[in-house]
Amino acid sequence: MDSLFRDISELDFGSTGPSISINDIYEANEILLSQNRPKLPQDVILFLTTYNGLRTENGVIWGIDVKNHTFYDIVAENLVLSNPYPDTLLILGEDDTKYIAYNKASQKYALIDNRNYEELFASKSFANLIRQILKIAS
Amino acid sequence: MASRKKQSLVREENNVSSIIFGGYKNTLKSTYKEAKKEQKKSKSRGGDSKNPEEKERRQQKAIRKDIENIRNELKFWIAYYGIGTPHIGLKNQPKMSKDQVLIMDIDFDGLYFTPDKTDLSNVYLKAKESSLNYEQNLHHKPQDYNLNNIPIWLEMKKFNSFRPMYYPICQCLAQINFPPEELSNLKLVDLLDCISHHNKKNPKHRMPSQRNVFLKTFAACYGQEFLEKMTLLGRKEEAQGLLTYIYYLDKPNQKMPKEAKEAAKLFNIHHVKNRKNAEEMEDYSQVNNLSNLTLCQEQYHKILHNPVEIDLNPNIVFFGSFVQDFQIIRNPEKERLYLQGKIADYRLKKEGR
Repeated sequence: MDSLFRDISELDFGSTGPSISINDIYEANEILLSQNRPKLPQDVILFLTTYNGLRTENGVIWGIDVKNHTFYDIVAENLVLSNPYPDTLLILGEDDTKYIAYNKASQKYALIDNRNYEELFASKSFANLIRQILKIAS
Repeated sequence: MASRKKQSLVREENNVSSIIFGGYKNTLKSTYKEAKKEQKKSKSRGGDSKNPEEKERRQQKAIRKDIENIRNELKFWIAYYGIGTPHIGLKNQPKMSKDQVLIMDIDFDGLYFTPDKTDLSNVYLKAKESSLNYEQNLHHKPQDYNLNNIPIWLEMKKFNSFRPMYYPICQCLAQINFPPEELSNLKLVDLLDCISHHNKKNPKHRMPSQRNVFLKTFAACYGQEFLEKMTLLGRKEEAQGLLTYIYYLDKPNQKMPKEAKEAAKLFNIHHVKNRKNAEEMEDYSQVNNLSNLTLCQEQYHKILHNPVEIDLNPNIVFFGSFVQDFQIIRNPEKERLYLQGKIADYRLKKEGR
């Protein structure tokens, strides 16, 4: 994750939303749990406390919306998406064709085909797959 | 006279935009999902509780009618301006495998991730772990490997971006002293691992992506025309920003200006035959070919997919608006000459001339 953060800061990408506190993330987790969704995993929490969402010309990693800003919010998006596996799959961002998601069952991050929610590729590392969504070379 | 024509074109563009983006903005914004969400909200606010089921049924009917109206409106404009036809899906097409979808995506986007160790095949992992950090091994040479013996490579080599990776993959296999007789046991992730290793070692010669090849070809063949059309639309800075973005694509060591990155977000590449419908193509590997790609403004890109899936006219290489004067027609001969020139440059460099 450190090398990803370094690459991001060098590439000068901006967060999609204002920075948030750890309490905001806990609140988001409570909403997700109350709706039987997987809670945010540790890597994602670490990411969100540094970048509250990230958008490049190629893709977006969603953030947590605390003040009703108009940007992609992990909680709201997951509540409206027609995800066939809502209790195991938490969607965290997207590009034109794929979602990046956390699979609670396998405890891995995955690239998901946005047509049919089929898992295309899975990895233990969140940073690894963020690169594919945002097209950041390592 | 000419300026009057320009003014009337811009006026026409504004009219069409306001009809599509303005009048129907709320409903267009709401796909079925969002409309349903709003419906739930209004339900929770209260209202007639005498017959909630009947009310819900009526609301759903109204939403369906709204969406149908937009579809018809869009179909009218598509037909009026001759930009394409609504997509009619073919039934009973064989479904693409997970590997095929991943190969198709990576061909277009490029490869930026590294497979996890746990996903690699045993034979590849064993060779990789027993090698000493990819140091040149004396046992095997890249020429010892014939990738055409690997079933998944036969699938990969159908795509333009993967074909130049033949030698780097062989080189990687030789460096880890992979037994050539085990080639047929390699999986897609093993080959992606080799490519990822090559990308890290040679950032200047990363695996190409069709997205970047298309953008560079577009800038070289249609850059000037694009700038003129966008200037007419009052968006000269955005066009210049995109061209700057394209210029920096193959310069990984130089810092791209922020304005260029911001401008690039306003454009997108549309697949004439959509990636979602690649199964319907005679050969699905043609889905990322330059002739199937069109640059369009992001706002129009959304409309080409939703609420009607549009098969855009394949002759349009830049879709700036529904009005034809803000579109650029493809010139295959120009693209061919540009790409041939590129290949000739590459050969000259390789031969050290």
